Amino acid sequence: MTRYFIRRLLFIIPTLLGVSIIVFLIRYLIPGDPARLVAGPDATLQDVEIIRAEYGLDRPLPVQYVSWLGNLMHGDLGRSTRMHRPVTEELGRAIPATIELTLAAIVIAVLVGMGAGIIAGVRRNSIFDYSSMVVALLGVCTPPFWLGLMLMLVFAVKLDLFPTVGRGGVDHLILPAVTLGVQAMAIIARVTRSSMLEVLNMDYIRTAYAKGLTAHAVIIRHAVKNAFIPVITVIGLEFGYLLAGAVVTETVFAYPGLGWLLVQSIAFRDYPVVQGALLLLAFQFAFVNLLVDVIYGFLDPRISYGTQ
Amino acid sequence: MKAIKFVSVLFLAVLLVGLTGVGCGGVGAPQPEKVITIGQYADGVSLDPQNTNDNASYSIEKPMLEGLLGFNEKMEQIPQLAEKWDASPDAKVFTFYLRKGVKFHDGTPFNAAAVKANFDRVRNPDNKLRRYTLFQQISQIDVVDEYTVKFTLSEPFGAMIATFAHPAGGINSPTAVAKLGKDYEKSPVGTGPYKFLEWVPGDHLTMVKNPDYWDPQNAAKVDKIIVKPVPEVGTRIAMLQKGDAQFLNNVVPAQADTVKGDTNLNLVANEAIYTFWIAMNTQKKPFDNVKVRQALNYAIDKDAIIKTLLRGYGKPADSPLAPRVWGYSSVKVYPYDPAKAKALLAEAGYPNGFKSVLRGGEATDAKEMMVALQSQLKQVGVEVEVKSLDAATLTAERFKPVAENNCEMEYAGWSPSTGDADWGIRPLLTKPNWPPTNFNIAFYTNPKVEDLVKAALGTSDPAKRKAAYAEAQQIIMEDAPWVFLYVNNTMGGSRSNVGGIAIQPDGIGFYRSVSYK
Amino acid sequence: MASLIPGSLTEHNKELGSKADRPPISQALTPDQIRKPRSLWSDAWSRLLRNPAAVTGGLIVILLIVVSIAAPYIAPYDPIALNLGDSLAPPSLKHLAGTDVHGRDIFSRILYGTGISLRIGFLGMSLGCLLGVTLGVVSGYYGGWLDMLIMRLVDIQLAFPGLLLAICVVTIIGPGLDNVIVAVGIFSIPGFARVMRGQMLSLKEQDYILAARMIGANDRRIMIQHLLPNSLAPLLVLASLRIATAIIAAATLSFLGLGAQPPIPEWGAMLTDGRQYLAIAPYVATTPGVAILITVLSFNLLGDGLRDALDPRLRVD
Repeated sequence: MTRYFIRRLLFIIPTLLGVSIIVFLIRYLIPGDPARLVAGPDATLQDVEIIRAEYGLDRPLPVQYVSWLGNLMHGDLGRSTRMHRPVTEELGRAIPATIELTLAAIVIAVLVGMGAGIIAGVRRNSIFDYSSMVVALLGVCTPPFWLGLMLMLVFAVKLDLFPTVGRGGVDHLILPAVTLGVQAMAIIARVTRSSMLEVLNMDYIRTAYAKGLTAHAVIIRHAVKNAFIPVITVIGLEFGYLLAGAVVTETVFAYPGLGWLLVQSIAFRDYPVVQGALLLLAFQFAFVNLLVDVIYGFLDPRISYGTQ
Repeated sequence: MKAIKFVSVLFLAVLLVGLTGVGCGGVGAPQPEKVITIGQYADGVSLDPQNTNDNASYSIEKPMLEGLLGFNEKMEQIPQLAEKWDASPDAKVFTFYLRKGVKFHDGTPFNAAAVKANFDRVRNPDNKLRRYTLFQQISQIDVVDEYTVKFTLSEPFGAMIATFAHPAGGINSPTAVAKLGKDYEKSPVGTGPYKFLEWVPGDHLTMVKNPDYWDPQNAAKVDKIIVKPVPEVGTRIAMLQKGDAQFLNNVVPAQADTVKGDTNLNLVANEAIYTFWIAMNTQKKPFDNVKVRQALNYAIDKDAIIKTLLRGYGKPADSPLAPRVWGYSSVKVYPYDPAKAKALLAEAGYPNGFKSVLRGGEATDAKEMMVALQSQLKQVGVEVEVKSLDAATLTAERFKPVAENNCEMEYAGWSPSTGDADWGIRPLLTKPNWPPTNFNIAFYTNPKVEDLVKAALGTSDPAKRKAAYAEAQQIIMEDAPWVFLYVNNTMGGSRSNVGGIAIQPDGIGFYRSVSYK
Repeated sequence: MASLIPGSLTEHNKELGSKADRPPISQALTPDQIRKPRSLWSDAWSRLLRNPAAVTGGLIVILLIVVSIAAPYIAPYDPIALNLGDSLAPPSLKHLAGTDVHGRDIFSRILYGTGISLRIGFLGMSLGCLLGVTLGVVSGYYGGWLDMLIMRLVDIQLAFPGLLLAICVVTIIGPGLDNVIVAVGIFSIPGFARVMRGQMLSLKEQDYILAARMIGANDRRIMIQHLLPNSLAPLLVLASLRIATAIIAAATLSFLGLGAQPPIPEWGAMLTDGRQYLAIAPYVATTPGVAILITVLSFNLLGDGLRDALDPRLRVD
């Protein structure tokens, strides 16, 4: 197991290298001059050239890449062309916000999703079952930015239950986390329900019910445990979506996280930030996948990592 | 059943936790001090006026940093740290008589030495400050006495006074600059009615009342101003409606009616110095023919567009400059006359119109505008394809040199940030400012206009300058390198119990006199 | 190195749910099932028809296709003609869904937009499917270093949050409907690649494949004639689900300003442009939002139904 873990961890490095090369390649392809963008349309050509020299943007791209790689070894990701600040500082500020939001979304998705899924599974074919599955389906199909705006209009403005924007205490997290977590919540609910049904409908369980045994609670707990495996997998798979979905949610709720930073940086051709942020996202994604595999291995004894 | 009960309780517990979190909001908690929260469309980038070139940053700087001159809410020049000034007739020497008894927020006295240090800093190319070129014509600064400072330029520049009024002319405490070096732009020290407290980029910036401000009549009327960046238009208005913000920079025309209709809110509309137009590439057929250009000017129903897309907050452009720009003179509005447009097109050799491409930005209001323009142009036989590009790509395209440039019709707007006619004409309509140097995307040039602009810069006599600009505007309207569209309003939204706050005609927030009524 | 979590695990686990009513099934196709392909599909078809949700979804999809073809004939107004005098009129008998800021009838624009959304969804998914399936088949069948290389590339693509990849693609190739289709297509590739690869891995060791090889059939023939047809089922399921994803992705790209060019009545663009009017004219944004919801919902119902119907025959591994 440990060998597998270490091997997978090492495999992340070429992936990251690949990501960083692709980002530099993209610079060849994407139109837009970062120096001119920073200077603004009413700056003179001289102003633009000053900025270009300041950020070393006048060097050929391969040289810039090597220099960037070198600095990376020292933990220096360069300076943001748009914000004048070191990239590490920008990222350092954005990451906790996104992690907070993503974790909150996952917590809500799991609690509400599993809760609904368990009840739906136990009370199969009841009104709760049908309506919660319908709501879950709707959750997957709603454009997230529309949902976010609607939630804000209803709960924050009309009903005045939550603050509208920004990062702060728990109350600032709820609406954005719900918006972000809705899709995962829906999938988790359905997956949980299925797992519950899978256990609860096995023959020996039905027999136990027929005999009226009060081992009921034990059975349900067993069903819930069985549901954890696919839920964990779903979280792992949805994680990439959550990171990307955070972009839209962060925009609507003015939540200063990584997704928002990335979109802004791309729009401004702030390449130092784009490179740093994408590298970080790629690493986070690969690492989480790894964790999911590991946890999966612990939970499901059928999987063994000895081979291959 | 126990397990079900357990799960249901868990379920409810989650909901309860979520709802009780509400109580920690803090917005309703009683505040002993007066605080104003402003929802701004973007965060600041830098707080050093000499290293800033975006309005969001300037809006934040203005309550804290002052210049020798400034602008009021109508874009008129007002004395600030200078009480009066002289300009030599050849527009090369400018002398300022400074206000006495003023101190920076860190206690450093404000005097001629401080002014000299400040402007020496920006005009030194080694400091690589973004606003270097704005002040590079200064060849020498002399401290005449403790409160008199003399600027000598390397060549005449009649608009220099306006340049000092530009927000980039904000004066920094030399002690702070020396102490903080490159980090100065994160925590500025000026002379304004508010001083800097803290900045969490992307989240909020706080400034507090300066109790030692030099002008007690215009001192800070609240204790704290907090600026929060909120880029999403729908989110901003929600903040205002809810009271999480007391002022919005800005509000879009679509929301104007909502704000006006709400008794808790006020619309603060201010005529802007922005002119919006479609630049036609005069170096390309068919736009090299003045009749075609004039025809298109007759083809647009500006009143209808202003009424629907701007909800009435604007007026048709009668000059390349907006009325509040110093040096503006009213020339004429091209009336909406599709018949005349078609006639002119026929005269020019295009009786069946022609095809072209109209490009602009990706913001919703730009797209809406281009759709309306496309439809009206179609009525006279001109079929345009609309291309809405993101800012970076659009800029890259527009700044290509004339040989490679694909501009045909470009929808854009411009505001001369110095409030002076020079900056409203020269970068847009003279040959030295053809891309990639600057924004003359119509690739327009007219020798008479070039001479007039040069003459206006060569003297500091306001009457002579105005006369030159008046003639230039006349010629430009006849030449019609643009389809002249409209002058809009800057629009802010405020709570009804808040006053003294607006958005200046140049789009920069005017926050310093905000107060609770 | 094979990824130990099969690409379509979500689908796999969703499928577990539908299996709850049925006894555990065998992993592989029995020779019986292969020899009678028609009964496979007709069985699935009757199962599909018995599922009310899937039928609803399917009917809505058919309705949408009909609307998209019939739009020019049934739309009451021209979706592009401006009418600045009638800006932002609320819903009425004259304008069923009201008018937008340019005075254009929203209902007509929604009708015309149906075809556009279906086009984006279908073409985008097809592009991703074509490329993804090719990659997956090659990777799964040949294995070895080719497999490793392709899977690494897929991993790298997955490491870019899909949306951001789409943003980059659109920024490079420019905005506009066709380019949105390309971007959305590219972002659908990994899903198809992984599913097909999984299929290849589980099918290629089957007896009938070995038999085909023994009689001398070459690789391409095996892939095209034997492996692909037997992989159609999970592909179909994924395809219908990805159409839904493609439509939402296109709408989100419009939200970020990178979608269809005006004045095209694409639903995502209508939603985006209408959002600043939410306070004064909510129908401008809400109507396209509901349209997107219904469309995406119907494809999801259809996809789920297909999966349930095809499930007992083929395991998605």
